[in-house]
Amino acid sequence: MKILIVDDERSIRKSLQRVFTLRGHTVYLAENGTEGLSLCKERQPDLVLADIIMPGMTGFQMVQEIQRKGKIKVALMSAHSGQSHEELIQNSHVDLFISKPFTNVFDVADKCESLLEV
Amino acid sequence: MTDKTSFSLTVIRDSYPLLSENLFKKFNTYFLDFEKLSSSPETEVCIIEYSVNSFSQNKMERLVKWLKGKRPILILDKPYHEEYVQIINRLHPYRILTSEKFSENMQKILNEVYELSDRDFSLNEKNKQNGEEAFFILEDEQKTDVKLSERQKYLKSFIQFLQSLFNSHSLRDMMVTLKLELDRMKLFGNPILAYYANPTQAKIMYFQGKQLITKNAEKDWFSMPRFRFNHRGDQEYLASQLGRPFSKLMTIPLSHGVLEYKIPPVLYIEFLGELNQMEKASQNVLSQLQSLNIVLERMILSEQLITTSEQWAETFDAIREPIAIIDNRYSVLRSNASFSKISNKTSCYKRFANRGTPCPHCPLEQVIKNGESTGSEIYIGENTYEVRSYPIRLTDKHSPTAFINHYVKVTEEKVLKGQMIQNEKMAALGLLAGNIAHELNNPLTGIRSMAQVLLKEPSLGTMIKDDLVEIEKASERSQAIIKNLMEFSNPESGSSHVPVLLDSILEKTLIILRSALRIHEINIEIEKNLIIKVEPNLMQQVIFNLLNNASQAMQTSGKIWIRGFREGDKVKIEIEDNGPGISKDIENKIFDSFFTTKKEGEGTGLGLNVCKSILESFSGDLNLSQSTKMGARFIITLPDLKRKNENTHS
Repeated sequence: MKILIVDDERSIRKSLQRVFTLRGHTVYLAENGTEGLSLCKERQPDLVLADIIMPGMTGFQMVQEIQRKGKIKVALMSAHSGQSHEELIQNSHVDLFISKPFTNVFDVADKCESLLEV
Repeated sequence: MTDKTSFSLTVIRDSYPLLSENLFKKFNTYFLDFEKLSSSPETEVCIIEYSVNSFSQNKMERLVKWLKGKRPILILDKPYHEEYVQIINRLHPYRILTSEKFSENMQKILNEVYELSDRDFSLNEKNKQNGEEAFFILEDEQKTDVKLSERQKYLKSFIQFLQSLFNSHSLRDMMVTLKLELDRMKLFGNPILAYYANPTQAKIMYFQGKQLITKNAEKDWFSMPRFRFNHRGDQEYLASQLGRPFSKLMTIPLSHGVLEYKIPPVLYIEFLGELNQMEKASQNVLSQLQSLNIVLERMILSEQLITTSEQWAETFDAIREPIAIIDNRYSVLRSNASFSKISNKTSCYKRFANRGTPCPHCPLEQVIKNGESTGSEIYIGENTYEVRSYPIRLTDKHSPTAFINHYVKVTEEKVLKGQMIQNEKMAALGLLAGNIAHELNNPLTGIRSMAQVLLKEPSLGTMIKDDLVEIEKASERSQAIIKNLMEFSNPESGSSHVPVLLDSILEKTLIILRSALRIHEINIEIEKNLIIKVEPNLMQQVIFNLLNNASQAMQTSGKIWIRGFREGDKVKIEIEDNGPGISKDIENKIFDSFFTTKKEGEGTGLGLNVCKSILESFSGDLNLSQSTKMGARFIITLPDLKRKNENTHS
């Protein structure tokens, strides 16, 4: 599967890339929302895994743009607590929230893969 | 005093006798008629009956002639008549009475009069003294033991009255003098004075027996420019102020002179004679009271000044902050009680600051230079004062020669300000820490994830694998620290507390600290099965902090003891080192947030404060139990979870 990872933290991008690559996926990386959007258009990934808090466009804003263009699975990473996000899931078609910091990178990969299986 | 009856008594009877002859049975009495006034044997006491109806100028002159200056007792038929005035003035009697009054008090009156007339010098024209000569007599009296006539005695006492009056140093003196004079005149009661001592306080001064009492007047008295009798308003006023009825009251308004306080003072005198004699008798008093006015003015003025001065001094001393009036050479001219208890005049820097030279930063020089009030801070001992110096300028042209120094102790203020700033700093830092923590999460997550990924590599050497595990654990711990920090700056719902073995927490912590602790000797004495209910990560952090501190305290190789034991219903964990200990002056501060002895960048100093908070959230505590040059010992106290019957304390 094609997976787009959008995060301004390099070590997180890299580690996630390693895991997904190990599991046989194709991984594209973006540093920020704008880059993420353009890569999305270009590569048409199956899943976008993005951080919310990034310079420039936030993860949310990026997701709005993406959804307009087609049906892609969206997972957002967030440092904040879950409740307000429940609402957002209903509203803005975010399929999965992953809280940061995450304790195990493989768990994250598992969760993303289960999204893709559906 | 024995009743005297041996003296010779002459009664000059009127056409209608007023006194019965029986009265005089005991006495050696001559009864004479007006008609038969001729030279008679010398008599010691003379009583003259006088009826108004029989008045005539002629009669009077004959009496005067016959008396030859002797003073009689005058018995009148009416209590008062205007014709009496003349008679009284001419005959100048010792006593003036109605026949009833005389009869009631006869023996007493006669005794008194006899005493008065005991030494009698006939008064001839030559000896009719005026004030000056009488005064002259007073002086001579000491030398020649001169005997005085009654007239002379009268003048003498009047002059004494005047002298005392003018020598009065106070209103009280004056009142006493007046009372004595009124007593002497016998027709009057004690004087009462109502006056304003200062613009707001009216006072009444009156006699109670021999004691002179001054009290605050609760309301103003009637003010009228003239002298009056039996004025109802006055009677009511005095009755209300002094609590007893007044009648036969003379009201004498006194002039004010310089000070215009509300209404002028008033003198009240009760008349003890017959009501209709009052007016005339008081005319006599008035002439003597003229002098009173002048003295009174002076007295009231002086009293007002004293009161005002006292009030000013009281106010001055009541001001809590030290105030001193100094000259341009730092000499203290006047100061209030707060400034200094020493009363010697010395310089302000000597008295207040206990210095030999002017205080550094003293604003005086500047004020002298530019003539405007200036303030600055001076330091005396442990205290900080803000001194404001105000120049006192008499005219616009002259430069000031005196200055008011106002000292305000701002030590506490400064400390509070310092604390406030510190609090704000801490709040700002807290916010900053929160932000930093937030930022740190990302790279830490990355590090941890990377370590996890690497661990999946096949064919890793054991050494590398172990180290990768360390990396992962360290980053995990870092995440936990950050989580705690963020909770600290923004406390949300606490993480769950679970019962854990102290052993296991210690073990985990020691692994992390392994390299740091390598150079020191670690001694562990922990009882078995010590269970505490904590959040494991946080507890680890606490122990980590303490051990790390201990380790860092000892630059070279040292010893660290870790003890865990039960005491009562508590579990105690001691962490002790043999480093240099914690110095006394920072002992109280070590648990403050942001306190650190480490250099910039070496630590945030969050450690002990956060540790203490964490332990408190576990219902425990952290204390420094011992700190000497031989080392420091921290004790963690936590509730013991093991039930008593399971106590396996060895």
